[in-house]
Amino acid sequence: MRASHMRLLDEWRADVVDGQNRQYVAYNGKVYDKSLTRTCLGCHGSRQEFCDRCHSYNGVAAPNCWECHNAPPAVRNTP
Amino acid sequence: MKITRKLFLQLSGLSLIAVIARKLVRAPANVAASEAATKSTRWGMAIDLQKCRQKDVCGRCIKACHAAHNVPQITDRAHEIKWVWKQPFEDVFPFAQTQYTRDVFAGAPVLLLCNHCDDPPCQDVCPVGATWRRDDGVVMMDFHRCIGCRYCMAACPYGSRSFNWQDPRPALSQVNSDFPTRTKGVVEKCNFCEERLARKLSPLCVEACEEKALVFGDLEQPDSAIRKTLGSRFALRRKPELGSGPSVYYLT
Amino acid sequence: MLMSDKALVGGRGYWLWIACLLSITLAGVFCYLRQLHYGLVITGLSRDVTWGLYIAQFTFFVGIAASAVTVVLPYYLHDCKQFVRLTILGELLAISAVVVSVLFIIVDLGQPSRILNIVLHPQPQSVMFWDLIALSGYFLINTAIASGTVTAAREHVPPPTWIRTLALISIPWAISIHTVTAFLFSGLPGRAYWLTAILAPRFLASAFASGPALLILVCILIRKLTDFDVEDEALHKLAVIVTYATAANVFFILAEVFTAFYSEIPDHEAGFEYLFVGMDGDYHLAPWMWLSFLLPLIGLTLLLVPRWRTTSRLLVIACLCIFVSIWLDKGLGLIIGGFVPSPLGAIPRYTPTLSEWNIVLGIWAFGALLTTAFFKTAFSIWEER
Repeated sequence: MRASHMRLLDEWRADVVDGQNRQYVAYNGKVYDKSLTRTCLGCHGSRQEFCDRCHSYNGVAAPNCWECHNAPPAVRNTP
Repeated sequence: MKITRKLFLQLSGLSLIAVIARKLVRAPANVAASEAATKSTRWGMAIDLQKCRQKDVCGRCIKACHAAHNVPQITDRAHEIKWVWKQPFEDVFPFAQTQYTRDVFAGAPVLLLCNHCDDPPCQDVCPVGATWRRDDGVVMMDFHRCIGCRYCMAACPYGSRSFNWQDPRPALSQVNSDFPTRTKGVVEKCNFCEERLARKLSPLCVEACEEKALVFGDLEQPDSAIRKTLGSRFALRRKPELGSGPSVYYLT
Repeated sequence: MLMSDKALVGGRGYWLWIACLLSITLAGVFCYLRQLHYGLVITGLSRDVTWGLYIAQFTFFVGIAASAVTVVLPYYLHDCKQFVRLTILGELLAISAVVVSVLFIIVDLGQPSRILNIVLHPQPQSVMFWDLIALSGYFLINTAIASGTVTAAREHVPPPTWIRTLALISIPWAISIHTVTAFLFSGLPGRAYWLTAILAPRFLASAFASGPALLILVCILIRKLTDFDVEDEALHKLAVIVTYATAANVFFILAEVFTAFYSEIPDHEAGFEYLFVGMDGDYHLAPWMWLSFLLPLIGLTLLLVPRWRTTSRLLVIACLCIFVSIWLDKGLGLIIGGFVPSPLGAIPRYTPTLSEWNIVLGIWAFGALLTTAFFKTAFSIWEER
């Protein structure tokens, strides 16, 4: 995931924007919404914990996702 | 092996041909897939001008849309952003009434939004494909891809599009976290609530109207509510002579 | 190949000029950084007038770039030997003009960091796609020709034969860049002021008037301020081209006015009415538009009389009149007339802000900087012989 997450985000974005499908069916049959705010960060807590921790440390300029997408404010417990 | 100029040019040429060939081979597959996936749907909206003016100053539809889609409230009219709004009948249909015709709609508010045209000029001009007509009739916008050239705004015959001249977030009193905001430098417009259409819900403006003045549906289905409505009363469209094929009808 | 060493040698006056241009350019860059930070809100643009000075300047300078054909065609197709130096100068001016045009597009973008999307997701149905291909190609062609010719002159050998082939290609290519720029506007169904078949011919005529006029003015300026010279004979022949082009441009404008006002179709009259008379109390553009109409008449009068056309002072006045008038018409009026009245009948007032002017001046200064460096190189090499 660390290596390919941008590819996942690109593909999910294309799927949602082109109106093909907004749902991702996992290997175990669980259905997820293709949403950065609700799905990715819905489980994985805040962007500080999940995204900035690596991007800031490595100095990798992240694409400016959060200029538009809403980052959940609270830090939740990750499973 | 020494790379001579000749060899370099040959390799570059072959690589270029390979890339183009790959794109060309993939393209028909994509078209076939999308054609197979869609049925013939054409979303449209009919706005009942009689019902709409029942309430004196009503903006429920506008409030519902703008709140849910995080449309900023910018007081400076030059830089305002609006997905749906009202203007007097004379502004929208300047030649529809004369001093000799029955003065029915003088000053009446007309709801304006993106017309989700059948042949949208905005789609033709976008240099990056950030706006396009989906197979179901919704004219989409990809805010990720938009470079903010505003060519689509010049092309739109209806003035339906707005541009983020500045960062919109300071002008948002409340953020609906279920829908992204946009950022400065991109164009935006009504999206026919496509995120709700995907969940088989109707657009927010349609739901918010207490008078049920907005009828939304599939223009390709003869038994849909909108087709029945359009079949029973005379309806106008904005600037139909331009050939853009707007999908928003105004019932008189 | 760059031969920049020629541009880095000069007297005090030369360096003073360069310093001036650099400071104006830097002021523009600073303003642009402000625009990147705050967004295009710092301009005078609005929801109804979404294009203004930037795109108007882009249009104007594509015209200047295309005008190189007025010297290339006579020289290569009709053996007009007087244009031997003007051809190079015209091509060099075209290179700066193309760079300036593209810079104006870039500063107009809301998300310039995404500009590569045009390459990654090409849209052949968009005229803008073809405009950028045409401009890039023209830039490459002219750079190849200019650098090849100037290098040959430096080595004291005749220019290679492929120069002629490229120059011949550049002739229809120059026509195409400005035609496609006109097509950006003249295919939009909702903008009646632009929806006219004569827009492309008008663009070409005004380009062929303003471009050579600029070239004449720059050459006379160089003659006055430096030791370099361009022969009178070449300049006078170029002035004849300006005369014909200006006459054609005035005729095209009058033809447009006839169609709009004889047909009395409100949408077609509206753009002209707003620009020349004003609407709803907003007539701030009217004096400038009338100036843009009267100046070419003065210029034409001066140019039509051979004795006046060949008098340096009068030639300068004529060229200034024509250049300024076309700048007002194409670099200002054209864009605003398309947006006002708006699709819903509003009369929005567009006034460029100081920041906008700052950025515009910065890009102009950068173009002048490029042109200075190019011309200095060319003249230095010629005078070496």
